[in-house]
Amino acid sequence: MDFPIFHLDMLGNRGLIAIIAILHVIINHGLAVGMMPLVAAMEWYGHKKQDQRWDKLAYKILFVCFLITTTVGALTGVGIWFSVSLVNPYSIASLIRVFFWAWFTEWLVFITEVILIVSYTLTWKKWREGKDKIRHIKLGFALAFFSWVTMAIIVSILGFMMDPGNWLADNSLWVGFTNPMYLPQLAFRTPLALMQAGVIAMFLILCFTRRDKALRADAMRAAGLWTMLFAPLMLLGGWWYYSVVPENMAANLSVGLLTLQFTEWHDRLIQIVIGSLALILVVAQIAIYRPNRVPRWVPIVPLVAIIWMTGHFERVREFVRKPYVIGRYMYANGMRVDDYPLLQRDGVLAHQTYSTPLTKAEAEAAPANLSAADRAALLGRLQQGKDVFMNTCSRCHTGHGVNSVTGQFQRMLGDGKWDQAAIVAYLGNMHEAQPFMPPFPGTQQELDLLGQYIGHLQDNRVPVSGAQAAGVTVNPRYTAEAVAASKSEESAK
Amino acid sequence: MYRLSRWLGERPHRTTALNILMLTLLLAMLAQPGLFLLVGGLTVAILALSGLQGAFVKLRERRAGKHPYEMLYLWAPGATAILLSAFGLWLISDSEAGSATYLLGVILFGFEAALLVLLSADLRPGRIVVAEIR
Amino acid sequence: MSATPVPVDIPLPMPAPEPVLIAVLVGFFLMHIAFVNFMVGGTFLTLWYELKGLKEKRYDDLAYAVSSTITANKSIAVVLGVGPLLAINTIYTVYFYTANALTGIAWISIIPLVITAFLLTYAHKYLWHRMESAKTFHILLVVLTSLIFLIIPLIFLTNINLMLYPQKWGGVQGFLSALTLPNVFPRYIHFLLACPAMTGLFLVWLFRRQSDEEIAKTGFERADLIRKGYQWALWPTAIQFLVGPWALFTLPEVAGSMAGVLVVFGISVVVSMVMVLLMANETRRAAEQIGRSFGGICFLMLVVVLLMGAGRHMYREAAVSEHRELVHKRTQDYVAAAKAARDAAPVQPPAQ
Repeated sequence: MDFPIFHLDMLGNRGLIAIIAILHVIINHGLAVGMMPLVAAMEWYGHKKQDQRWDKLAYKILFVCFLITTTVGALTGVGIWFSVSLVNPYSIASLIRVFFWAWFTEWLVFITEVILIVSYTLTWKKWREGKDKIRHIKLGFALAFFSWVTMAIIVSILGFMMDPGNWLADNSLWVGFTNPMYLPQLAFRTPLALMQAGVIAMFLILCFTRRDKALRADAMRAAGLWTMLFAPLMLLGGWWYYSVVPENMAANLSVGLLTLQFTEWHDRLIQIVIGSLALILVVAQIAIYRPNRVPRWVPIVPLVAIIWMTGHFERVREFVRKPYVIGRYMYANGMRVDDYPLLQRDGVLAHQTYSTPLTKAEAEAAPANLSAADRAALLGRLQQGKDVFMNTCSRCHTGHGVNSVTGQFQRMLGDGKWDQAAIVAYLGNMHEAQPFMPPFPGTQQELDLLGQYIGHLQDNRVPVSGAQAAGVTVNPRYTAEAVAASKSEESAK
Repeated sequence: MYRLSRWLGERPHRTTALNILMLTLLLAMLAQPGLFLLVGGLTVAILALSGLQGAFVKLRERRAGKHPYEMLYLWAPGATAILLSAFGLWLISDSEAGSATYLLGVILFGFEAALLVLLSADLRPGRIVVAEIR
Repeated sequence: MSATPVPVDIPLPMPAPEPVLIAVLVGFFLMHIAFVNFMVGGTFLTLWYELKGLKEKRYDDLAYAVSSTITANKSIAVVLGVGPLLAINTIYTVYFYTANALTGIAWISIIPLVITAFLLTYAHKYLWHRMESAKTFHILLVVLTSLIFLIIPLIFLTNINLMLYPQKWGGVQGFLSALTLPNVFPRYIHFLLACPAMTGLFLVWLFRRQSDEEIAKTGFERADLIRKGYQWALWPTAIQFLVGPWALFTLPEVAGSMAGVLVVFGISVVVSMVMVLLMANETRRAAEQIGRSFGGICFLMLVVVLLMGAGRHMYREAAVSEHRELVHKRTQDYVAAAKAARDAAPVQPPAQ
């Protein structure tokens, strides 16, 4: 509405965030938060036993982590900011107003973490003996601690988005921090990260100890035990997290057949968590029992399971948030709950600053046998329909790509020409049938326009274009001249 | 065949493990979850006791240095195997015979029960020495 | 020209007084851009010296020494960018996000581009000795990195340029149309020249403090290395006396007053002249005395950089202050209208 609307019609806007964010989580859980304690412990052990082999192995593992975390890891973190700002600027901008200092603090911790990991890696070979070595080991443990702290801070912010607690009444940072989702999520993610690191370490150990069987056996056993140690904690944390689903989300579960979808996802998540856990433990068992006989591909299996689990977990977390993007404050379409009476009275189009123009390709397939005037009128209506779509649907849906509206309607209404009345009737009542859909924030007329546009999409398969390609048209009511004029009118009164 | 029996004869626990696997296969084919639960549960209990006995012996041997790492090494694998075999049995009892979950449960149970045999054997005196914390 | 839009801003209070947020924005941004200069300049210099190293081996060793600095500098550059990003999102929400959305594909492609550049940098550094027999391919790695580092500043500059001119937002269609807006190109050249210049000073610092063994590995004398650093600092900075004014005077006209901006940049020109004189002196000094003015030069550079940051901020304010008032007005009206509609409407709980 008040930002030009960036839109990816094939991948979908959520997909952009999802890919970047999941990649980031996998790297920071498995290679930073979980792995740094393990590397530091290995270095400490090697020093204690005066055994250079452990030291060398720890360094090799660290180096791999260093390469990946300082490139893909760091940049996907920035990428989350970039992508969220593109996809839902209303929500992220609102969150920053409340959580600025939390993110600022997190950033200071990140700076420390970067400096620590860079110095930890680059001084390894220089600080080899005596006091230097001890200093280096302390550096390792400091790094491990700081990695965890950054996760602790960011988990609070994420937990907040699922259940704002008292944020609506008291928009303050501290209230957000003490929300009920916080500790359960942290209790789940910490052992998950440690176990993930254990599995990755097993893989790397197999790669790096091909010639030293004795070291391989000891190291694999250590990694296996490390992994096993945290399993019960992950199970407990996961159970705690699962049981603290925000009240209104839990209430949804009893509403009709269409919540089946959510329930299925949620139950599936539990299955995947337990299944992944079992798989990780089996691999850990093999690593402990016969460390020298583990083929290198074996640790990759639970790793894939963890990646699947992480993706699913994030998906459910997003799902559970709906229809809101900020619980009870802002819907997923970017509109505030408080603004609904105004928008439903006047319409979204009356208040939008920007219109996303139809490209030529998008406007085609309008019937050719119309008079010029009729054609112009039709295109006008289609443009309005597109604007309604962009403002109210496009944050989660595409026209023809992932999670497309055309796909939804094809499932419901079949392949024949869709009946306009049926589309409009469905859209008007969607939020009652599907609790994770926000109510429509516009007028009945706008529903009709949207229905017409969706009908048009059935014939025109061109991907819907966003402002990044099509540009924007400015609403004449909200130009600088218009606003300045109304300003001087008011001061004249 | 001759090679198999020679291999089995080298270590007695190998025969036991093989027996466990054949038992699992038999129980799976009978497709009686109740029976599986009973027999499987009893098997795990017996193996667990045997393992416990070995673990306590090892514990007494190492009175001197009860390092937490060694304790973990002593108890964690067995505990995990017991839990996972129980989980396997739960999967079996909770599903239709022949379904994917059933199969998964059977494989998990069989694997973990066999592993319990092998782990218990490792705890017999004179077997693989635990990673020593010198 | 299309109309200037006045969108609704986020109706939540700022998390801190604006001067605090601006201090965070400008202060940390200057630190960020310094390290970006070191990273990009370091890459260019590595390429330069590695090419020279094809004829004279010791330049190859020098190139290796320079490339070793990129590892740390790049990570610091990236992490220092997050704070200013946060601050600009907060203070200039409407402007920044609008520019981001309008250049969306290019903007988000910064992420894969930088990842690629960093991975290439690692490959280039850590496989240096192993690739001695495949020099062409090895140099190709740093050529690719350099190309990427030439593209990325364009994307950033396009964004922070577009954000200042709401009157342009309605007319932009995609990244290329925003790229060609004034005055992206002069600013781009200004930035590119700053990279080797700042890196030159960085190298002076580095070679002054390195141990004799580390210096010996480069194959050059310490004084020579320091002189090279000063030369890299001097010549691009000298050219800035042309490019700087070019960038300044091609800045599009704005609603606010440019007086402050001109004064600040004027002072920075004078300070730069003194600094350049000192640098020129240093390049002609004998080995025993070289480096004496380093502290002074750094101090002057710091002053110049701070003045640049201040001038840039003042220009930004001149460009958007008036518009911000309009946005504030529109936001107030909108919030009031929403409240009136809420009070008039029958009570409806939001959909659960």
